[in-house]
Amino acid sequence: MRLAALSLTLLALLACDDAAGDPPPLDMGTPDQSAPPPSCVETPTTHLEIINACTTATGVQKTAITPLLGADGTLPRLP
Amino acid sequence: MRMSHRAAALGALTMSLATSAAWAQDTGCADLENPVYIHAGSTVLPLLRTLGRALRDEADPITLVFVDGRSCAIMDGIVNDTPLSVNLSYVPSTAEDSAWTPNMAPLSCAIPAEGLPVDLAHADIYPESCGTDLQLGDVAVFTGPVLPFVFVVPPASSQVAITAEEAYFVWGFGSAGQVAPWTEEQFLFTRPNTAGTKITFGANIGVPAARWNGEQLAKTGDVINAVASSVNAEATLGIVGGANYDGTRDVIKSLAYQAFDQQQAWFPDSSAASFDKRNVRDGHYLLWGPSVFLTRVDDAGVPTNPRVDRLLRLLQSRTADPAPTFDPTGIIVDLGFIPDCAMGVARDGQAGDLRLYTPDAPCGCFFEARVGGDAGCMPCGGPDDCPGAQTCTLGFCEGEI
Repeated sequence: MRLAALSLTLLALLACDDAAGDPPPLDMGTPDQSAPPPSCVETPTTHLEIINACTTATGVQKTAITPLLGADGTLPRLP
Repeated sequence: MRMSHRAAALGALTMSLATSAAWAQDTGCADLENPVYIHAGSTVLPLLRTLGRALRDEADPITLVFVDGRSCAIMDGIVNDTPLSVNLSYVPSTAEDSAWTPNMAPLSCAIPAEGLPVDLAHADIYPESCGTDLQLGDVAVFTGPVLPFVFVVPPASSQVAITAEEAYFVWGFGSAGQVAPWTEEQFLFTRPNTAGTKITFGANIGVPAARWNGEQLAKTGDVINAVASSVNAEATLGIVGGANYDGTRDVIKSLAYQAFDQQQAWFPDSSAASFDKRNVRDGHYLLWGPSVFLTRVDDAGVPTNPRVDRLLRLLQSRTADPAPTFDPTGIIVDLGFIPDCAMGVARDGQAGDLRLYTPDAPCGCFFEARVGGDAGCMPCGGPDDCPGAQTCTLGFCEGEI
């Protein structure tokens, strides 16, 4: 466990010291090789933190257009 | 390494598009040397072909004799002793055909009228994911290397990423989901409801396999072919296993995936062009699951078939007796799978939450070296070469000092 946490922490240190500006909100998604995800987590421990941990990998910022999504972000039941 | 990787995986497509009838030969499957009869999902076929060649070349050879199917039917078959009833495939040894490579079609062998028993079953999912309350009896489940799964589009598509919410509407609602550009159901290519690939995707995006819209295609190769040849690139979307995708990147491309509650979309690898599976290993990419193997075991939980026991050990990067004369973990990595020993996260069930994970015998340094990365690890030839509490695993000092 300590080794995994250490590895992710090292990745976080590499990734989070060079924040860039806001990513362009393109529908199709835009690979962004310079900016870490907004407010990435440097020392993740929980599921939510792990999936949003800082990294040097290439992420894609996407603004999804989903007309059926509830205003509060909830998914409607399947038909 | 990359070319052989691609060539081997391309063979999966070649094989799945061919028919066993076209390969039919006179060889009897039961007459092959030390056969292990395997019923497997199509995602693992590239691995079986490459490992099959290596095992057949050993001094005491094992012949992997296999046919592909769908995960739920495969697991039901081994538990209920349903014999294999179609001709099977195997690969030739180097002595038999030195020119054969894993990107070529395997050979076919004939089965007896009563069929052949399944020694080892492979699925992309756990038995409980089929929803059939399968009673395993003396059959046990073993997990093998991790396999990513990817959404794929034609290279001409401008799409780069898909979110879990988009996928929920696309597959769960079809055209009514109104998620452009994936609104034409004839261009949404999926798999049958009992296919492990579809069930894995479904568990991750919240759409049970039986509720999916789109065109159901029998095999992974069919999906790759349909996506690659689509007349409407922008509207086209498919699902495939990562090992199959890695070998066909010249005809299809993967989308980055943004899971629920995630802030960005990620590829399985650290970039669209790399093969390092870093985002699977550290938890940024969530479309993955372990390979699942089922076989009969004794009271101690050991496979009753010693050849199956040895094969499972190789697939799990464990020691085997006799030791292999080839590098099974290297083959696993080359073909797009991730040995458990190289994972930094784990999950329960088909799509459970992630947690940090340190394997008992880590092999992250070996993995990084194999995919061309540089983790700054120290090479070693034995335990005395490594400082402190580190162990020498697969040629590198691993673990904490």
